[in-house]
Amino acid sequence: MELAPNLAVAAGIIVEILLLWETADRQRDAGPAPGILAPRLSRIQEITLIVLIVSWICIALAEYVNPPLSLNTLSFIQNAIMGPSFFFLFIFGMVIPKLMPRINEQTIVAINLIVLISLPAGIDWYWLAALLLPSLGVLVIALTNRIIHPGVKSLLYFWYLICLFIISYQNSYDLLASDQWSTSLEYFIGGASGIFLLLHSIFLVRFFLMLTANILPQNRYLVSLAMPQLFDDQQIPLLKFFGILAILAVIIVANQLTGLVASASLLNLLILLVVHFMDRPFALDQT
Amino acid sequence: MKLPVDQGKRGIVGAIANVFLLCLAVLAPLMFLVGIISLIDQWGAHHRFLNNLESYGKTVDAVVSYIDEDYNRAGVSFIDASGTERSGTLSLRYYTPEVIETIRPGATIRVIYIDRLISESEKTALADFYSEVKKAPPVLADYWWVLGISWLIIAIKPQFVFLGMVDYDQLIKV
Repeated sequence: MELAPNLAVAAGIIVEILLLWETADRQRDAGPAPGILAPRLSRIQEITLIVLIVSWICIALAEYVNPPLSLNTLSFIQNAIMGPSFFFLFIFGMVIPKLMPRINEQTIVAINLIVLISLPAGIDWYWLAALLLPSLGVLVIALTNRIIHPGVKSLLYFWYLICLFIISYQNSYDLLASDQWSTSLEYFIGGASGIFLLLHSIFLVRFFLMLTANILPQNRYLVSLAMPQLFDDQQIPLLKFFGILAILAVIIVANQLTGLVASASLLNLLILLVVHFMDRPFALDQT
Repeated sequence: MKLPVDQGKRGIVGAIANVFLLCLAVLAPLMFLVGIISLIDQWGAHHRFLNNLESYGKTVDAVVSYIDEDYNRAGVSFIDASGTERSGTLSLRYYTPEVIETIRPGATIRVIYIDRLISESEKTALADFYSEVKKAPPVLADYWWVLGISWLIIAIKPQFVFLGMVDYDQLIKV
């Protein structure tokens, strides 16, 4: 891999970490600090935008200049990206899950839809049934307004992590996999979605252990205390929810017909958009 | 009717068991994580081995050079298709004790080796028992025991898995 793709992957990873931080900040704090240059944005949003602009300038320069770097130098750059990334994944995936975005059942339905569309054509019927049954269950729950029991929330969240793991597995994620992407944008999306999906895949191990608290009655209070940090009770209006699902389906089908963007990159991008932005315009106007 | 002394003894035993379980529960999540990583590594190594044998496997007569009982493997020497002398390893976990008895230093055995210079190309398999290698479970039973026991401990005392997500005083409430 040349310099520009390496920079694109690194930029994707950094921007995604900043987005996770911004989402966690926004969902947990009542009033994040305003930006310095743009007071209408929060400070972390401002930083994310600056990093995005600066990184793309660097990527464009690297593509234009295309310096002839040695294999040792490129390996050093890749190790410099992977080392801190794995450290981040371990700390924030297993030890301090403060950056896990809070989601609701509607987000899970949207992610589920993306996963079902991403499945290979020749999948065995029993795997399809194993995926469709919980998907239908999640959809039914998403169509109701009732507050969900913490035990059920934990199972829904576990299913959400399983869906993200399925996407990671299908992408066969190596953070710097070079043969599935061709443009710097695809490398950027690959880096961002890679860190996001791997973070959730590692958290899946810890959450699987957290689910054991549902077994003995004296431990179930732990799930009740932990789930509010991961699961949001707010929902967007049903009409808007179906509108978002329809838009997702149209984008995916249109891309499959036209082949404009690599399918894996599009699906990964849609997952990031759903998780980070689905609750944004509507979170404040719920009663 | 239970005597107060019996109830006191049961209370002390229960408290000791509780403390013991809590101490184990501190280590259990780490044990589980290490178990998962080891399991994934074993799984991957086994499938890579099978894929390499399918893609690049060639059969040759080899001489057993040593037996390593600690790592449950044997060393073999053979001449590959290009006439180069090579050495390889033969994992004994795939074969029955009767077959392993026949693998002794100096014995000649027929093996499938990986005829390509790639990672883990030193691994070989017995040609007459290739089907056993393909049918073998990818992960040793020991790993499942480690995962199962650590999971059980966490199921009884899951408090430490919730560290960082639940306030400490609510974590250890009685």
